[in-house]
Amino acid sequence: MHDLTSDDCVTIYGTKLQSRLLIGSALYPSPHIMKEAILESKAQIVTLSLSRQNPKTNGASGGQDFWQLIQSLGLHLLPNTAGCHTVNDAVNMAKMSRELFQTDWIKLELVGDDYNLQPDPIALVKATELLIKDGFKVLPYCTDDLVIARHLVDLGCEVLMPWGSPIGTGKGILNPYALQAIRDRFPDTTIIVDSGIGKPSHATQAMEMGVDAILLNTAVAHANHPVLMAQAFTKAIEAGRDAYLAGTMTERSTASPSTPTIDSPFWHQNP
Amino acid sequence: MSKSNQIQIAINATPFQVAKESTVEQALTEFKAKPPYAVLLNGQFLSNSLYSKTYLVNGDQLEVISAIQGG
Repeated sequence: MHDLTSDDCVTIYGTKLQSRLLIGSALYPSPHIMKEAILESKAQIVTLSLSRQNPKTNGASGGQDFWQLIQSLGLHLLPNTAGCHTVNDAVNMAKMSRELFQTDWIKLELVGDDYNLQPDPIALVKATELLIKDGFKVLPYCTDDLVIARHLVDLGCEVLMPWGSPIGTGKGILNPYALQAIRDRFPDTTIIVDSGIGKPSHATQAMEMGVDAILLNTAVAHANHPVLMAQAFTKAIEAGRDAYLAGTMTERSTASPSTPTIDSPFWHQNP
Repeated sequence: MSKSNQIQIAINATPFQVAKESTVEQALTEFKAKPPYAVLLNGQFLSNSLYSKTYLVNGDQLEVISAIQGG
């Protein structure tokens, strides 16, 4: 049944992955639920971040329980630069992440406005340039602005992570036209919708548009049943991908009967 | 007031005293930092290969950073 898609992988800087769901590690009700939700999502990439270590307030482990749990999952790690407002902060956080997590992947986040956590496009481009020169494989969290996307691709980004809507809002794809434009203009770039997905149907919509993957966190972690929601998103993303590969019908403005009408008992009968 | 043989630094924005001519590595040990971690010195990344070679001076600010949940 899945012959068409069995070899269908998403590529992250040369690494081919079967799962098109990337999952975050924050906001879950408990570490146990986090682990179960991540496993049930079948994600192969998990995101994480950095924070000050305080042996006095992080308990006897110094906050290392989380790190051990994440390591036990055996997934690819994608550290982010969440909370950074300047190029210098983001670059330094990326360097710390590379040393700590032993990966040159960095999900580059640069906040430009605290109201909607909208990425600062100018700082994002500057930081991307510096990090790529330093050997990083940058996955920039960006808006759906086509021209900023162009600058990022021109700098060498093989992956773009445009928002669907602001982080944590769950509003879905607010500007399908803009997202479709990015997809269509960069057919060789891996496009991952990074934020704003609230429901499995949002994820399906994005996948039907041809984006390569979805990154989820709040939508799963803040569900009443995160593990069940992780399963739902996995199915939704697979459905959207299959639909994209299958090719959806052309939308029409007028009705067209699906049942043949010629020679029906009432053919040509006046109303 | 700091003792004459000590200097005042900050670790994770909290005042911290270490002996003069302490290295970053020594300060991290006294802070009881739990590996794995990464370090900023005065806002700039400091590679772990430099911990034992970098001497602290009065007013230095260290940040000891480790993994947390993230989206």
